[in-house]
Amino acid sequence: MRRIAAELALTARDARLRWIGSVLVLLLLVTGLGAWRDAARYAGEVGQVTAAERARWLGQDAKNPHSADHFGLWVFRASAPLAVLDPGTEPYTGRMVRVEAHVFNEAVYRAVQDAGPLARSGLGSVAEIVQLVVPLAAILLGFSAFAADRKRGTLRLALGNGVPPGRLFASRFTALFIALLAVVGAPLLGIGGLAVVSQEGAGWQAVPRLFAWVAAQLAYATAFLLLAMLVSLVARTARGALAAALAAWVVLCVAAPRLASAGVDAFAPALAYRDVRARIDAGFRAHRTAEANDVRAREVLARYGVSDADELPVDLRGLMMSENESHNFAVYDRELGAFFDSLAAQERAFAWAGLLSPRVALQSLSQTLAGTDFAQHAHFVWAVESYRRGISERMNAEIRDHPQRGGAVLVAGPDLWREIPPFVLQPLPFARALADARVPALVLALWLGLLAALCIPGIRRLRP
Amino acid sequence: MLAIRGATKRFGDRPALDGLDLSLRRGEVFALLGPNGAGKTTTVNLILGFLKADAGSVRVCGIDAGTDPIGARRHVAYIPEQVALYPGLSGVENLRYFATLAGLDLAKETAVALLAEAGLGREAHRRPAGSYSKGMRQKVGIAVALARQARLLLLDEPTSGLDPSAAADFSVTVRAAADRGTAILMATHDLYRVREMADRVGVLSRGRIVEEIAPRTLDHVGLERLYMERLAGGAA
Amino acid sequence: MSAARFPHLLRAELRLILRERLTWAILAALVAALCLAASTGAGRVAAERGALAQAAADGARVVHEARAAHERYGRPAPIKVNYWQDPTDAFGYMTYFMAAHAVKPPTPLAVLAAGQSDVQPAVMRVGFGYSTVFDDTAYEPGSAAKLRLGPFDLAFVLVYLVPLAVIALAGTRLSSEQDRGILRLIASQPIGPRRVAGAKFGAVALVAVAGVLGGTALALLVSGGLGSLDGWNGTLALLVMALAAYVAVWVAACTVVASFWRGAVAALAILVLAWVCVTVALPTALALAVDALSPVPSRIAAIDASRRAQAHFYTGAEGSRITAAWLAGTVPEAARRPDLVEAPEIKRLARDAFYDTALAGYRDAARAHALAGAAWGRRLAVLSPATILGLALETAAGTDAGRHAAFLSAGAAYRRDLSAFFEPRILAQALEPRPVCDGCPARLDFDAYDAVPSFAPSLPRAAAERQTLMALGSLMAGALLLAAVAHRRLAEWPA
Repeated sequence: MRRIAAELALTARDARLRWIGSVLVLLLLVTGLGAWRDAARYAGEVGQVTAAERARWLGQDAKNPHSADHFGLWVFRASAPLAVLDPGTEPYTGRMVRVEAHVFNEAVYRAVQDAGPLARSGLGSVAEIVQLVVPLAAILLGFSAFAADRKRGTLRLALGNGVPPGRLFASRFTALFIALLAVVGAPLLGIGGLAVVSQEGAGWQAVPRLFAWVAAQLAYATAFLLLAMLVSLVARTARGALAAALAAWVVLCVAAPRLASAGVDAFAPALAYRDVRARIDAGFRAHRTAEANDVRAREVLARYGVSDADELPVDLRGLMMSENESHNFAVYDRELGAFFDSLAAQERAFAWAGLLSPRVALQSLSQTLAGTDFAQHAHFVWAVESYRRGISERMNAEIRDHPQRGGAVLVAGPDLWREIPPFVLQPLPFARALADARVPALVLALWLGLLAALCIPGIRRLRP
Repeated sequence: MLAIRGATKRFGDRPALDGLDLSLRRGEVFALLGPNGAGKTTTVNLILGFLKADAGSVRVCGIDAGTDPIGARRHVAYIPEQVALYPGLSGVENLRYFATLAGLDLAKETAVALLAEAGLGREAHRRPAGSYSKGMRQKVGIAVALARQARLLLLDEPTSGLDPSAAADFSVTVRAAADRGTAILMATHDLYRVREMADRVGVLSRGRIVEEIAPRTLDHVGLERLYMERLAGGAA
Repeated sequence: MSAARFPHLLRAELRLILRERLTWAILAALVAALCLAASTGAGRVAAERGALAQAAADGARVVHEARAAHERYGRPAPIKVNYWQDPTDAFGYMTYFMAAHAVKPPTPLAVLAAGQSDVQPAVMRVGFGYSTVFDDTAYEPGSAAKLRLGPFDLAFVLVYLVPLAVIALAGTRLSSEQDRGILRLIASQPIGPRRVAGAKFGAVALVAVAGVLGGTALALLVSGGLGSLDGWNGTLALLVMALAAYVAVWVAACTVVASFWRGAVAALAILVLAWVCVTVALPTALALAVDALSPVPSRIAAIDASRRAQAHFYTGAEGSRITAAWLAGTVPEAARRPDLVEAPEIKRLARDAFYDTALAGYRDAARAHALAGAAWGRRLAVLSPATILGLALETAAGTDAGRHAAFLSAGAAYRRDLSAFFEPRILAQALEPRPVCDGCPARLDFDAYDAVPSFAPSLPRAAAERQTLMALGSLMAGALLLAAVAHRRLAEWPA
């Protein structure tokens, strides 16, 4: 303990720590508070417009239920509370969906479309700062752990006076880890705490998510601290240690993530949305022709054993719309289901691509724990689609079950509108996030284990 | 060759040189003896034009090193305490590279001959300099000086860290250079080699030469005693 | 003894650099990265061309099927054809059949930069089927993880990795000599630091420029991603010079850092932090500045406005009143036909016109924001060498935000053209319905499928040339400025 305290005192006196710590804390706080302000503004807007949409739905005039189905509404995806820390996939996926008859609309208006090209430069969020800058900070703090001592000759003095290398390494590592806790862990917990306390987080289990998220970031930072200390153990000069650690940073944090992206695209390609949409259109086209419609109408009359639509116990138009929608739902389920499955498979491939770089593993792990991963987006999209189908089915059933004779048009009113509940999205539970996080967490743990294991022979062979 | 008149240099409040006078003729070997901080390195830096004197003048072959350092360095070859070479280049390549910096276009054969003249064994010429001992690196440094036919040779602690045989070799090489007419100024602590190599010794203390000795008039013990006395006197 | 001749010195430094294994390792890694990036770029361009071909084929298929349906329904048959199934109905064709696309074809240099192409589509289907609030609703969902990490394209390698390669090559020149003690021997020669630094960094610049330009050329040749350069040679030549200037900026930055005489550790740390600032932090700050100078109009407020307009139209008799007013304004003689007000196609035209008016302010604001954002981006990009080169590459590739903003405006104009084409025909059919024949299912007689206006795509060659010239000027100015600073600082050797 005394040794750790001594190392800590040395670390605290180092001007580097003060500079790096100040810059890092400032960057994290400015970015985090900016994101928190934006999240509060978005949540306020979403709350207002969601209430207005509900009022508009309920306040519709009496009309044919199918018109109401077309009138529809917009639903909005609320941000996860921890999106302030890691927006994850949220800026890259639409968060607003037009719910209307017949169409499985895309979730539209992605923040990235409005943000412009410069916003994708890499420090737009707290998570990106952690992924790119924190490793650099860990390297700048750790590269000289042994290399500088070696150059000064103090390592010779320490080892020559019987200090065991393992204990020397452990105390230095602990001191630097505590420094990282102070300059990385504390600000992250602070910003996250603010986000959790100030935002509506029902169903998110935000507090355990926050702790798990911060732990993941610290594990990542620790991996780079170990890397820096490893090169410091091995390199003969501080210059060599820094050059090697920086080269590793460039490879792992700058180049490898994009290489992983190209690799995943090559080895686990997702379906092209354009092709999916073309297949959906083709699936609808044949079904939509007048001839196909005519055949189906005759088939319905035959099913009920009548020759005239007015003799049916149900409304022919309502029944056919209902059956058409069932056909469309099946096409959507098949094609978009396959599309979303291919995207989910690609996300899983990205988690394994973390073997190329801990940054890729952390990105995957971090967004999963923050609740801003692709699974949450897909959950939202399909929940909206299920809600849309619920409305269509209810409206079509209303028409089907109230046959109108002689071309009369059914008119429904607020009682029917009220039967449609407001859209409420229950996020995927934290347990599911933990299950999804297994692979990236394992990969990150492998990185930590590998670097720690590589340090052991370095410690054993430590020479002044 | 070298004329230093009343050279004064201060770093903040600390005087490094305090009115240093020193002159050196062709073929003469002058040793600057002094403890750490006496002003030896500052003197070397003034001659090379890396520093400018606050007062006084430093002239190399009549050229003011303060106002025309490059002109002055044309006549000076310098061998630092630790001759550092490009480790990936051989002795020949290092020599040719440094000659290029000095404006010479040295043929490979000439470089080989110069290295041999400086005492570097032929088997080492093509080996990477990263594998050289300190003595071998110093020989490359001497070869650079030979290539440049410098009129003044500055040696900074030339024998520190050399084994006795390498130091003896070095003494011979230096004397040979002096015999060819090169003026040599060496800053050193090595009383033994000073007596062997130097024609004159200046004891430097607190930025001034407090005693000038003809070393060959004394034996080693006498030289050491005199040196300690002068230092003690200078410190008083 | 004469002063060292500079070309002689430069040759010696070149020999020194080319003897280092690290130099070749860095160049090999760079060329490999360039080749990989060019091949991913070529794949992307091929996919974009495929999308364009698919859109064209889709358009041709629709016309073909419409003709076939026109012929089929133009003969007496017992089936009932609704307007959404009937291409002889101009409104039905416009709304449910037509596959009109606004397209943004790749430029011959598209392989250079993915730019905004992964978030902004190059093909927009222009339709009238369902209500849209903005011009840029369409996009192609894909892997968000991929978007987050960014593409491994040539722009990434050139803008981000090339400076790191330059830092690896040049970052510790002079400072490592200082650390090893070689500098003392160098400095003792009759030569000033400016000439030595000039030769050392000049040699690195030559090697780096040759490596980057040669590697890029090789990568482009191997990948086959370069299109026909007809008329684009000037832009390419400017880009080559801009790239060389970008390398020169980083070499000059290394020279400035070397002039601090703080040793290799400090030099490396300073240069890598400078890289982070120039390529990551500064662009992020510039993005914030663009955001502040051209705030993003709220999408949600616009959606709310669209829904207010929709609710207004469908409340009480408002829809009929608005339709009657629109009809009276558009076709005065239709006042004699009160039945037209309830015709679905007339009501739809009137409704869309009403929505257009209600949303005009929001749509204009969105378009203005896209244009202003791109314009501010162009202006502020000058502040960082990375952003100015990145923008030049994107503009040459035709994947920049400015082109997309213009494309969105062109797409909106195209929608208006289509509307102007169909509206009189729909009105004419409503006023005087003329079936193809008696007793046939075809309801009306629209068959001008080939006359439907097509989108005129543009290739922004002038903009690309302008932007590249701008980049070249800025980068050369930056390189010269840094070189001047280094020259000033390198007056004397360190003591």
